[in-house]
Amino acid sequence: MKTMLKILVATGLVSALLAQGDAPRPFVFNWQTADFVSGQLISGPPVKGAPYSAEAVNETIQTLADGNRIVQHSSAMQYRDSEGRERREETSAMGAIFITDPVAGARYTLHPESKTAEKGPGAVFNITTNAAGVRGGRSGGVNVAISGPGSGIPATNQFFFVTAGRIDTWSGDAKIEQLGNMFIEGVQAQGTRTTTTIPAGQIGNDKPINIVDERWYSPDLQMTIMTRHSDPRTGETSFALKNINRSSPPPNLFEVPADYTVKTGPMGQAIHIERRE
Amino acid sequence: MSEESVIAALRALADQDCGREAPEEVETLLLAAFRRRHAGKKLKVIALAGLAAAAGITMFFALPREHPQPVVRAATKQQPSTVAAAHAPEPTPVRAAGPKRQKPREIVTEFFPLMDVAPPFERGELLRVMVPASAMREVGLPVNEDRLGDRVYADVLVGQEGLARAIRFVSYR
Repeated sequence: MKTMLKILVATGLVSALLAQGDAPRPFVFNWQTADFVSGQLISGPPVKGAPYSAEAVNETIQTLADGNRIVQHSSAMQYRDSEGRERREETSAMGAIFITDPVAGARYTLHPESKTAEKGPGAVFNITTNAAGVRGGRSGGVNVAISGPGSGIPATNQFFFVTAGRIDTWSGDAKIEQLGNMFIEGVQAQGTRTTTTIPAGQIGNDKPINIVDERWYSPDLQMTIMTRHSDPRTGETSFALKNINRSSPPPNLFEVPADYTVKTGPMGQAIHIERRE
Repeated sequence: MSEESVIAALRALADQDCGREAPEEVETLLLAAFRRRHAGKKLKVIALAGLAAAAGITMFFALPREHPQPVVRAATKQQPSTVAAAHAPEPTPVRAAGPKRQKPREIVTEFFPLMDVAPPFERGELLRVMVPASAMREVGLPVNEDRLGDRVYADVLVGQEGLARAIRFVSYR
């Protein structure tokens, strides 16, 4: 259930956030009532020639008004081979395993308990967002376009969401600092810190609120290997790749085991309603 | 998420669906449920009218149950997405003959953001979950009071750092 716990924690933390000001409507969500069905990895174009395996560790710390703290951990094993195939194993009771195979143009969700695999189209997600999370003058926006052979979805059917209209104003106060280079788990990474300030009075706050994002990007692995997100309203969330191994993982990790039953997954081709700004 | 944007999304969905018909099995299930609830009335005409309204202005949200008891309600002008229909993701054909049906397709709402100041999204997971229909109300979508506990499909976009970024709701046609 750690998969669900992860999103439970994540969404639970933002629930309080959503209840404020003109931010998105309050989203009091009880993830304990949510049932995992399936999933897929969302990443950009395949990264070739940079294999690795590592443990992805997430930690969330929420400090309550009385000083009490709520600390949650979750982890998953991640793999990538030289051809850009990826595998993520959720180390949870749910035990879902996600595989994307850009070579074969397919993705799979494995359910080890039932020995079933759901197969879906090998869509490529072109994710457009810069280090500051600013796109088209909007901060925090995410643009995910599904394209590529096999997706069957026109590239124009893409979705983009912004986190809130008010962010347009806040993004003007974003401060970006370069933190230089650092070796993390034996891998060189470049650090960037973005501080977004919500001015006093914007959401009823007496003083400015600083939200800090720190990211360490590895040019060798072509991915971010450590992050820290700190928001006084919700707490601190961190992510790090641990025990990074740069050798190529065994090929069978990116294959569906022979004794699995493969069926078409529920997350098939979707019609996306493009938001009209 | 403003009410206007929600309405705009629903209208876009309705525009897109205006020329389509519900799958035959949905129609069958809806009619059966409607007949149970409104026995003795002019069911066929009303049900077809409800279906027409539903096709035009509503989304069909999947409410999988072990023993589905689908219910259809005519949409009102102000509550365009209060019609819901039970519909399994991979329905079993209910008619032996007739024209070949298309495979059910997913229809999704736009993503509703869950964070106001979010770090850049580089990679993560899109998780399909089943949640109470009350979650739809939380993001501003209208849901009938007596259906808040029904289960609907949703996709949650989670960044690699574990932060839930957005949610969208899924239906099958």
